[in-house]
Amino acid sequence: MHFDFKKNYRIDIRLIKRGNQAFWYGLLLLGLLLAPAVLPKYFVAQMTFILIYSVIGAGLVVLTGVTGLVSLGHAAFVAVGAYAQAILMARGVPLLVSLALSGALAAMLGLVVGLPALRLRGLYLAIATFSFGFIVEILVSHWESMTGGNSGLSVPTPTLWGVAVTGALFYYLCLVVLVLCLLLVLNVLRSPTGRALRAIRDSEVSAQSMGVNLALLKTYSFVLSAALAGLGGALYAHVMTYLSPEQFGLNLSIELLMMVVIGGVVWLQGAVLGAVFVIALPQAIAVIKDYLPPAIGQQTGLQPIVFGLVILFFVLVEPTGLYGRWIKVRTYLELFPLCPGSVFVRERHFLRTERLK
Amino acid sequence: MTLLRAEHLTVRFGGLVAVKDVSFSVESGQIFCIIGPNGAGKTTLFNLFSRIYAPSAGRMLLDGVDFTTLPPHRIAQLGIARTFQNLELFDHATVLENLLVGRHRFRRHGFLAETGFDQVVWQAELESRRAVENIIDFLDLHRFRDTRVGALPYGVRKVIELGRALCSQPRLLLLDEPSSGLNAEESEDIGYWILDIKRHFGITVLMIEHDMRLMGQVSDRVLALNEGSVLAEGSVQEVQSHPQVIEAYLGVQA
Amino acid sequence: MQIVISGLAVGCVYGLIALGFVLIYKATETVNFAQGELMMIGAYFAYTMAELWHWPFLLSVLLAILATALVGAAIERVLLRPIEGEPTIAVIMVTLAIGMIARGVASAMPGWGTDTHHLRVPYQGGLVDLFQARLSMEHIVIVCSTAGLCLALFYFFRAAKLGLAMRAVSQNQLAAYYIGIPVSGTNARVWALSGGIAAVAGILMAPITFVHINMGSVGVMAIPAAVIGGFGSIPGAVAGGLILGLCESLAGLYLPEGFKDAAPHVLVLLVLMIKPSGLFADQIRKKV
Repeated sequence: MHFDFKKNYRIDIRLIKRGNQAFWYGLLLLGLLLAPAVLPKYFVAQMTFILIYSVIGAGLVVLTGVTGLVSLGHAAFVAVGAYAQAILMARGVPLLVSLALSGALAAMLGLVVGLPALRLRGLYLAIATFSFGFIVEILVSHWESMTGGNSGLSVPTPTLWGVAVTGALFYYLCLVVLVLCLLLVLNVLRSPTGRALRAIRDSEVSAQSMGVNLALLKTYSFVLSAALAGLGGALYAHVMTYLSPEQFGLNLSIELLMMVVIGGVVWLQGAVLGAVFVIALPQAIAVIKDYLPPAIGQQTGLQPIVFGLVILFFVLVEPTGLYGRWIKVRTYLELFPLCPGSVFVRERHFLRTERLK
Repeated sequence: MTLLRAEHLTVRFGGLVAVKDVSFSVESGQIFCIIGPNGAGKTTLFNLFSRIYAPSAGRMLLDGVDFTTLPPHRIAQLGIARTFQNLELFDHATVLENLLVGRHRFRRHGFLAETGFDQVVWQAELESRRAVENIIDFLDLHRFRDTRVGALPYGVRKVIELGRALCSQPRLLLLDEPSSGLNAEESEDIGYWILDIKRHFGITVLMIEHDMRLMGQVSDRVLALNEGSVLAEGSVQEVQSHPQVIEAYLGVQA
Repeated sequence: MQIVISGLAVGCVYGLIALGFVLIYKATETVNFAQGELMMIGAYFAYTMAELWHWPFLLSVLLAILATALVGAAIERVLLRPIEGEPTIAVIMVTLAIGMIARGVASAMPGWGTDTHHLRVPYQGGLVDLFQARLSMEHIVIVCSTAGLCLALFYFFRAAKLGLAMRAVSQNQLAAYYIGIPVSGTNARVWALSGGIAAVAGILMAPITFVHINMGSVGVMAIPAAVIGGFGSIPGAVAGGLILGLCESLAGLYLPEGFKDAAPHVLVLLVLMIKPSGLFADQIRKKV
């Protein structure tokens, strides 16, 4: 068990609160830096996917976990980022510039969609984004001159100062982008804006009466998460090397949401853990499939069933996700053997409608 | 000097008239109490002042500035803070964070500065923290500083909401039934704090209260409402002995 | 005219599914994203009984509706009751997961699989000449049964206690519980009702689109219908469905290919921008 002795206010504000935190995160970063040198190519490719999903997940944590809004159309922003990246690169725009532009484009689109929908309550945003996701998917498949339609669009190999950024190099690029994004989001979350977003999630009326501009901040949260999704999409384009509209359907949106729910929706760490889980699960299913009797293993429906069951498990049994479970385990160990069972009892909620009538 | 002036305020919900032609003014430095039976339109008045509702007719002025059509999030900047009858705290955040949200109206830097968390933001944050610690001292909330609000007892949460309103350093503080749900001891504490708020911070208080003892303890002036209209206005004694007020409360002819 | 009628018929199906959304929304303030899958299950039940087991058609239909209602109630009881009152995201995720599992299981069921099946109905292929237009029996049956069902529901909500209890529960669960309304039971019944309606929609849709595991994606189209009608308004849902069906078939006629699918969603965004609470909405505002 440890005690925090706080000598000044800075301790509460800074990112790294304790020395051992710096140590463990440093060790993790070191491991990630060394990974391409040690691990086989296939693993590095999978880890690149995880890094990219984490970028998108960080945005979803801000939107869903912190602000309490749900987007069912985030795949659309990923699609916009990916296609923008492919098209810009094909026109000869330098890699870093086009990455930024792709993110910015997604953000602008987020602004256009979010502004009207965010004046409403959470559910309407979910539906508006849901519709928006469909529209983007249909647009992408029909705007053939730009996107190649259903026949797809190939993505040029990224180069930076004349060097082709592929394999391990691309992995490092993604790692840098992810770390920058996480720092940026962490800064936002510890600033007044971050507090205001959490305030909106818990009580809109009182946030408003404290001077929080609901529409502005909800839009900001939405735009930020759209930008991160677009940026993630731009990186995604390079991993896929070939884009087609059906990659960015409702299923991707659900997969992304599932990722943050599984990881633990209120923590950034949860986004990363969720990304690991979502990337690893299909692989695990593919491996296990061979050991199952063919009657079960050969079913095409196996993967959706497993995914569905996993979601159900997390929402019903462990709503705080993987990171929430980890915090509980850590607390238990720190307090051992003095941890009373009632520490982790869940509160009971009752629905109280916000409708007047 | 008049701080808050309400002129002929009327609110209609469909066919129902919740507030009917209410006019009054609150002098600076006063503790002004609104009383009245349930459904008299007290909370509706508060919701007007915090611009959650728009009046169907009438004007509202703070220190001569008309805020009848100001968007709700600008009310805090104008210098009005409020508490809620049934507590509207940020349950998943700590007490400290709740109080810091009260400082939101002092945010001066843009979104970009925050993503970089530069020196300006650092200084602003430290400044906010100092201000909040003052309120924590004042309301004696040290023990709960890092506790999640949802886990605290009702009485403490009531105080936290008062603290959050104070953190925005308002000119006018609206308290919606500050003593409801509290035991005798706790509501006495609230009474002293309200007097201290007036004395130390020079904040004008407009409150809704059912507890006649608390009302008598703190009020400088009282307004009695019934069915949306003003019954009486005056000092505590004047209103308490007003025949129509007694009738509205007890239902008998005085 | 033909286009209008077929648009109306499709609109009726949208309206029925939207009705399911709205019922559940009114009672629990959540959207059931598995509504389309409930409809798929209903159609499969009817198909299994009528085609695989060769039971009489009407009996199969009735039993299928009952069975789907049971499935709906079971979903509520087992999966949604534990998360009552949790944030929106939890319920959205659970219903999405139910949809995924339902599709997966349906594809794994012997006799169902991933193929497209045909549900033969007695009124198959019939044509009626009306107002100088040739109308297919399927469409007429859809329109008539929807109208009948709506009337029945309307009387049900006015006369039955359940309607009142539902409204009470939807506004304040705790208070409803205190005055003795069985909150959980009411929710289960609402789910059963919307499951039954979904089954009707599925069976009506079956002769037109055939029975297959992805027929639930019509549910996706019905969400716009519910929004246009203003979530929470029962006549609004049906009206929204009709508007949408018409809109879609007209878009298919006058606009370039591909816009047909996008039309309802564009309409939703427009409605949300212009009249955010829907065309037939009730006031939404929190009381403090």
